Amino acid sequence: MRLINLRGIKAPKIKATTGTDITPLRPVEFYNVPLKLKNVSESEPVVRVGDSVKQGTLIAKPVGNFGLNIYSPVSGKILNIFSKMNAGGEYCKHILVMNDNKDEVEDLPQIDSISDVTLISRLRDAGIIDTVSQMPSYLKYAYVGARSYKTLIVLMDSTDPNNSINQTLAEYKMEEVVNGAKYFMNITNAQFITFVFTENNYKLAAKLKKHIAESKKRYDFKIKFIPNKYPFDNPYILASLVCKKKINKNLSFLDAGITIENAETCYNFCRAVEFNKPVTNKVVTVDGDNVTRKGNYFVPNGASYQNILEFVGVEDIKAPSRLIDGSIMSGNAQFNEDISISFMTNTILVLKFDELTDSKEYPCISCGKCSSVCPVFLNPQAIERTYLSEEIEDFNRLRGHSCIDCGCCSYVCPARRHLSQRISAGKFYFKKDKGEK
Amino acid sequence: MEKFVVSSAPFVHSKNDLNKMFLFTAIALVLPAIFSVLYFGLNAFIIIAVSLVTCLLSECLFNLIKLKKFKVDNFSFFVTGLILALSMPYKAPFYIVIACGFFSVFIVKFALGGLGINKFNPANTGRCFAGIILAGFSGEFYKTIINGEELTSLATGGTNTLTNLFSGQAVGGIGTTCIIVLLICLVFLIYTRVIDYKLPLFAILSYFVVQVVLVGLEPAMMNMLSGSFLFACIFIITDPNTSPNTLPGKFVYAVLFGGLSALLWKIGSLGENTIFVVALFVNMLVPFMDKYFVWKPLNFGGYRNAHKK
Ligand code: SF4
Ligand code: SF4
Repeated sequence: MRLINLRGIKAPKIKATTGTDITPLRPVEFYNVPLKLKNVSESEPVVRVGDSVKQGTLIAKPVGNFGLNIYSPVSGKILNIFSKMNAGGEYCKHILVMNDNKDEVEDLPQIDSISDVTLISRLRDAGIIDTVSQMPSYLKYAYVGARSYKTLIVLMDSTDPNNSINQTLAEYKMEEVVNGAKYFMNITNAQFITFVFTENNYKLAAKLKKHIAESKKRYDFKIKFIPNKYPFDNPYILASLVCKKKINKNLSFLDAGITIENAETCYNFCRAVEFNKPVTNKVVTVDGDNVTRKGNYFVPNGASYQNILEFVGVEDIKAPSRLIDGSIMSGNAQFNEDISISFMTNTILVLKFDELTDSKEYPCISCGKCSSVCPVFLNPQAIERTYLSEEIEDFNRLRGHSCIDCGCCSYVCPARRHLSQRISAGKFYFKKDKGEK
Repeated sequence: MEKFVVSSAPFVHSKNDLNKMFLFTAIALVLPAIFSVLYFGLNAFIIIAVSLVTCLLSECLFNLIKLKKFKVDNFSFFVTGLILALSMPYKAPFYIVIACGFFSVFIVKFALGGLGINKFNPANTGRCFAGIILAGFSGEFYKTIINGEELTSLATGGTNTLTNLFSGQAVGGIGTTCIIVLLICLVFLIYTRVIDYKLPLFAILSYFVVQVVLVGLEPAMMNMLSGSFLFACIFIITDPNTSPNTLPGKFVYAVLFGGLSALLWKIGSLGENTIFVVALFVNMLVPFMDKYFVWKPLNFGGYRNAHKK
């Protein structure tokens, strides 16, 4: 008897960024559009320096089969194509677009009929990114036979302590989200959609129920609630919570027939199908104790952290602080504000520097707190020891490679051991050539 | 912005850190210490003071030899010293306390690895050591005060009555005589999340069940509340370092502790030392439990790009 529900750590009930609609960012003059995102191969520019583009003009397209179409975020002129560091710390090509403030818009061609083939090609053409699996959305469906997916889960909420993109979209753009989910249902073989909420969002779930019942495109759906605990919105955990299926190395999501989308992808999909809009904006949650106007923002692709911080306002400019791209539990600290956000950026946090986080590391006192929160039932303390003594066999035997990098173990550790950091490093250095028993 | 501080995730930590855990345990221990001084007077004060000073000096001495610095790291010497002192009988002579304090901190704690690495609970091992030394003397030391008279504490625990227990007159070490004080400590430590409530819970339940089988319901109630056992449940078996990490391990550990204590209390001849010897025994099994009584991990197996196939 092992209950995954007892694992994880409590997420805050009400996030600071919920309750207001999504605000578009004030336009700026220059946009540096990165052509490479984490996990996705680099796209090739299709424009030249000096070309003028409109908002929604294709500026880069994938080289092989596994890339992403990238569209210009504004109308203007291509000033430069050059190499620069992206948010993941890699150097890649960026396209510098200068805004001419004419707001000319170019749309995708009208979709002629709604079938799974046209819908999947629209997923690809519009450059939609799936932020759950962190890869272009069409890859999940295009080459593998989308019909083998029998369960469609749409995540309407996030258990992350800060990220409230899905909640806000579900609340203020419900029409689009609901329709987008419908198109995903058309692609797959699912008979109904499972909308997943956390336990503190009953009101939103009731609103959704009412909305679908009253809309013209009625369809079958179910609503499931998951405990409001981090990291229960992780796809692996979600599959075992919602479908009681354990995804592992012998059973992939495809084998289990489970596909997980979130409200943001549905929103983008609906806009691409119904309004022929390619994806040029990313919804980003800006939060943290050093931010003046916390909230969700439509950020054009290629805007830098600096543009965002100027718009939202930083309270204490002089004090040392942290700029984090990603979740407070597992994000990347950035050292430079002149880096463009990408479609993988969900959350930007500006945190005041807090001594506690950098406090001294003590020896492990074997309290067992880390292994009592790990959602994968690992024993982080033992795995950390195998990493430090470089016992690769033991690292594999203890299933260090199953770690999902959630950071819960480091969060609870009273000795402030850097557990999740070392386990990630172990996963990176101890490649799985020895095989796992 | 001036500049950004770079560090690795997570950027937030739970409030419960190591020093706070020691601090809270120390605070919880001060209450029975005060009570014991009020009740037993000067004897108790000498035991506590001698024990604390010995532990402090032992730690400093070890640091002087090893690190060439005369210092202490945190409150852990205070916790060890108080647990040791409070579990001593009130007639324990101060030289025995010194010997035990030195043995606990210098040998069991630091020579066997230091904070977090030592495999035995220092205070408890020191107490067992005292048991061995004291056993060589007459029964003189196992005396306690009940209703103003000195009594030899009995192995069967027959002298406890309900009023004795709650007015601080239970048989046991100096700090273990008042059940109410101990219960307050228990609630405080559970509330501040320093100890895991499951360990005392399982231990007390199993102790109770075995006692009911052995001696019947009413004496079982008395014995269950006898000071030393409750004291060990709160302060000794919950020591993070020498208790198992996972829930199955914790269950086996606590049930073994409770059941064996009850059994040996009845049929054994260790008397007052039973509880501490049993705690030492289950303590020895912890590495074994940490290895075999664990959850089987889920196997995502590095199959990160499951969608790609
Ligand atoms: S070991 Fe990995 S999966 Fe488990 S809590 Fe730590 S970071 Fe999360
Ligand atoms: S939480 Fe920290 S101190 Fe406790 S067992 Fe895990 S690594 Fe050790």
